[in-house]
Amino acid sequence: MRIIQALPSLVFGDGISNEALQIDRLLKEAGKTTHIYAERIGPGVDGRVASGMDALPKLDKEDVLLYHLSIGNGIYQRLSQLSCHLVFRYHNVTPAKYFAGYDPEAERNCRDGLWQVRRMSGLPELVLADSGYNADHLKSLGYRCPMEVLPILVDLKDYAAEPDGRILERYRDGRTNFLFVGRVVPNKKQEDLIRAFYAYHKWINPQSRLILAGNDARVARYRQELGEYCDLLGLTGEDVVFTGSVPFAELLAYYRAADVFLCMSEHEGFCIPLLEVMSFGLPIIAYDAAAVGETLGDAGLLLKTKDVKTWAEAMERVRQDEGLRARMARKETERLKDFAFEACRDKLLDALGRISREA
Amino acid sequence: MEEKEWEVAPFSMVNQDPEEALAKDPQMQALFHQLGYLDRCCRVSLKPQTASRIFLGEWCKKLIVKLSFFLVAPLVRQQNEANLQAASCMRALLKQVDQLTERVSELEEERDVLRALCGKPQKPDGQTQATDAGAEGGGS
Repeated sequence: MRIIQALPSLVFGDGISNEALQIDRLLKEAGKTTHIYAERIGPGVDGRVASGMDALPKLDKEDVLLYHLSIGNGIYQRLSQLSCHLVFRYHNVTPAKYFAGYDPEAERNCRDGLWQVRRMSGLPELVLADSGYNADHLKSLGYRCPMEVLPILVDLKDYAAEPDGRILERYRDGRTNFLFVGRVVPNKKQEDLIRAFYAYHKWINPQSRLILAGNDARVARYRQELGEYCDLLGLTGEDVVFTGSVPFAELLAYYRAADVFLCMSEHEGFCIPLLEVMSFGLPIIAYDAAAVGETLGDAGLLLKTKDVKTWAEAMERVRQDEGLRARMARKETERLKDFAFEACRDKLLDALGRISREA
Repeated sequence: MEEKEWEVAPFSMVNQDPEEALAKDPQMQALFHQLGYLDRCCRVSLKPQTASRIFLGEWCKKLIVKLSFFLVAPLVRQQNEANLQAASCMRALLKQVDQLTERVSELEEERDVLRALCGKPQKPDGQTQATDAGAEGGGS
């Protein structure tokens, strides 16, 4: 009996890819025969761990296929022909509307992804959803199989590593640093962050900076417009920093140099950076959309508006109020217990074990 | 915290065609007619009193924001030397307007403080005057 993982793309720095690699390691530690198959494998991924979908062997009915579902892909066509046990790992699909006018390919993939999700409602024996939000989404699309909420596996011990000293030195310069971490893509709404930051920077604290950390090469037109928006508002490259993709040590440095983490994303199936932020005790202000509020719990300030005045004043309050910051950090420590790696690992292995036993 | 207007250019302005927007918006057309006047004011109105008369009022703040949208952004988008130079001049102009507006606010605050001081001087017996006629009437 084998436990196989399949996903559209396995690339460096992507949350879903990281989880697939983590699961692969856990299954191997548990003595299972496992492998990852992906339609696209990015540079830097160990070839012993993953192969292209073309290499997917014939699966027996005792085998289990764990399929990571997040975007339209060609794997979908093969799933209905498989005789093995199917488990879906549902990460949600970004609504296509966010990519309209920016990235036709991503728009098509998202639209196809949702169409595929609808069509596959009768296939899985079990769904492991990242969040209750994701589980509800599948239920609304007609899924009736057993469904469990299993947060994304993130081993936060890795985040205790040494941060990049140069980045720390550069950004610990007396300015207040606001940080967001995530790919520069339209659903994450970096323009709203820039807008709120502009109000804060102009009317409350000019000695401030917004750091947008994450791959900014994916949707070029959107990135260009964000730059033009900064120009329009008179914000310089020192005021708003686009880091692009960064090595892990640099990411750690940005977390350590930051004063407040901001998130105005409108679509997240889970929002992994919130967990990373909590591990640093960094206060969070987030917009209440999709699964963000569920992941954050009561460990941060959740706003139901994007009004710039409300945001700017909240940013200043959280920056200045030491007591509030300490309370938020304590809540974050508490909240992280709900996402403890060991507990999530055990839950995953238990779920896959049950399917295997049934096999 | 002092009450601000909290008006920030929306992101959609990045993609807006300025000529099309101008043609559809009579208010914008009127504002553009004032552009030359504003430019002249910025160059010569170094006296705070003049600046105060010119820049008080909501229309002025809105004009500044709209000038940013419609003039600077399109110039930066079509990057050639002449446009960049024009954008640079426009930014300098806007910055000057901004500084003058801030100076006006400071002067108004100072004026209010002075009025308060002049209008309610302490009498030797500790009572205060009932009016600020001195400040309003201007007599010495």
